[in-house]
Amino acid sequence: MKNLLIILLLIVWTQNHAQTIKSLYDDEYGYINGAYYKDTHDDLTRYVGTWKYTTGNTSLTISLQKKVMQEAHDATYNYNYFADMLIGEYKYIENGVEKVNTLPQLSLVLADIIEYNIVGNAIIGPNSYYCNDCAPNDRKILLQFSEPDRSIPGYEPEMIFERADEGSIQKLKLKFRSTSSRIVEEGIQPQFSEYSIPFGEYILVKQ
Amino acid sequence: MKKQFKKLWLFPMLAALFMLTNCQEDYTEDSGHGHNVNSQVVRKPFKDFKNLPRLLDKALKAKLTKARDTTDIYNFQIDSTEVMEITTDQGKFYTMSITRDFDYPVDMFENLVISDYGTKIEAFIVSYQPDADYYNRVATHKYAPFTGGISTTIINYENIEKGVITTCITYSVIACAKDADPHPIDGSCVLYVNTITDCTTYIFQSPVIGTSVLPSKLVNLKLSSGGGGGSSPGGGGSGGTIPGNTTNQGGGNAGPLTPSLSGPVTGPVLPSQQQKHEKNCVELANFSANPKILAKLQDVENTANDVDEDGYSYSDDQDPKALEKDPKSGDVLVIVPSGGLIYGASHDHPNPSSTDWMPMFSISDIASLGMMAAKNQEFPKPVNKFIFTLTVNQGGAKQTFALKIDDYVQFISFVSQYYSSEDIRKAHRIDLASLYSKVDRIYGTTGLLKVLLKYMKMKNIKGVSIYKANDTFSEWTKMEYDQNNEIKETPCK
Repeated sequence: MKNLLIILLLIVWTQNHAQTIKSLYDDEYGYINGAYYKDTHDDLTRYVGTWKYTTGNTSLTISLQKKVMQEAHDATYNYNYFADMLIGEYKYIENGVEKVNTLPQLSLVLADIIEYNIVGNAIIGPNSYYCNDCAPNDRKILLQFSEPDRSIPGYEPEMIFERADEGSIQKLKLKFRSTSSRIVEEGIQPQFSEYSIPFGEYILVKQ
Repeated sequence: MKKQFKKLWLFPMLAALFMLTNCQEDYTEDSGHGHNVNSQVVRKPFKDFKNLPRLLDKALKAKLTKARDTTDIYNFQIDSTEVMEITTDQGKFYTMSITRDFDYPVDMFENLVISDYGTKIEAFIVSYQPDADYYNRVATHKYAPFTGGISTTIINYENIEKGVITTCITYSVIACAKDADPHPIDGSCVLYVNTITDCTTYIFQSPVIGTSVLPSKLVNLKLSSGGGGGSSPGGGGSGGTIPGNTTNQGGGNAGPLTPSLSGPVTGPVLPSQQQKHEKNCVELANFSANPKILAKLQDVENTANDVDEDGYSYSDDQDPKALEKDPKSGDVLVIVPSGGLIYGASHDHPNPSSTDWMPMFSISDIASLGMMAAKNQEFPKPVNKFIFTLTVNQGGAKQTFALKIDDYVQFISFVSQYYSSEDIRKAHRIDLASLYSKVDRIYGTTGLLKVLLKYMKMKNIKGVSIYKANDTFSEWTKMEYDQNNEIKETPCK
């Protein structure tokens, strides 16, 4: 009887403490308390590394790292969940002049993963609105962008990365854009109306 | 072992039975007053109280032009959705939510209370300024006890005309009615009464009950946990008290109560969602009935085929104006203006069949409506007039949605938080992008709208609603997320 009770208690404990593992790509994101949204297909891993776009004296360098099982806290409903994330930082040199360089931040362990200037984990596949031209096995990655001390009301800056390898050369196609319009106050000159990196498409080569 | 289990099961069963029987009382008593004061609470729509229009005529000393409209004289509208009738030994007291055409400077709501003692009929305005927790508790228990500040003033039209009125009102606040279902806070079904004396001198700058009659003094009403007392048998836990307030003539659970319900008895009646919806519907109808605006909405529908955004802004002192293109985006995006008398804008999103743009609002679109409202210079702010529309192309069919504010304080609270930190904005974008990216194109804008509505609910983005237009913009339908994971559609009548 005693053994039976112990077994029952163990079963109950295990059920209560077993973490729900969800697929970052296949499942609905972020609504289950305690769940772990895992990069089950290793889609994020394919984008890890340092990538560089160069044209003349202008270059854009982006370094991406994968962070597994990062804790996210929903303050509104006081629940936590975990997710694999990509984080990144960047350096942009325009005509030989360094416009912005956040790369050193990548070596820091920040209190909140959201503080990295490139961060996110949306994996885009065919049939998604973000993927108008995707073939069945294509996967793109959508990450959110920020630039230190530069806030532009209304903009939602995002970076969509897509593998664009050519033979043995590993390449990324980057689309940098805002999906939302700027909002301005009439008669007031906004402090910033653009980021240091211009919106547009870039081809980056793995370093 | 079996016997022990049997005994253990008895406790919850007895407790459940005990609570059920306590909560089925038809009458509740405030036994702490030394003598019993019975009160019965009934909540029904305005139309079901046949005598109420007559009472209002007498109490407000004016013939109402319409059953629910007192705008001509008292500058407020009665929300007819729910009236609470409290019957005591002294008489009957009717409480109903009222709304005004301006927005309050703080988070508050107002009730009109009519007291009918048989020989004497009076009217009061009770102003409630909830504390931070109140709405959270109301979301769980509709009739959860009120906590926050309360102020009451008597409506006395003759004295108001003289410019100065000193009110010294003793009134009682019933904080939990017997029909509280589900039960408040801790499962107990306690009706408790706070009797408050509130003396205030009001100086009126205009001879109407209107913008000049915001309360200058609030009496704090707080919940106390534990403490016993209260009223109905078995009651514990939740109760009311007014700590440290010298004007307090009694307290729900905090010890002996001084007797008598000498003044009107009332309790909070929250403004209904229906009332807010109706006001938005009126403004939407006015908006699209304007021929100049209608022409621009149709223009935006035509440009929703394009690979870039287009749109118009709307202002009270100008004709609709085409939105400027944003050169920093390669002229793909528009620039949305705010400030002055601008009250809204329309825009489209690029055609999703030839681009990879999202045919649905972004979180930033929602915040932009808040920015337009906050920067608008009109006073009082025309809260229900603010609008931000989005037209999208869905497989050749065009669909226009409108964002409307239904609670300025709640909405601006979200918008302020959103603009306060880049990290907050980024967190929203990460989460919503992850959700939007999983919506299959076959589900169309409906699939995206469902995701957005669920997200807004989960992230507590309140005070803003989404409406959908019909093909001719003559009808609008409110779109909400319901408990069954479906979109609930409430047409404007």
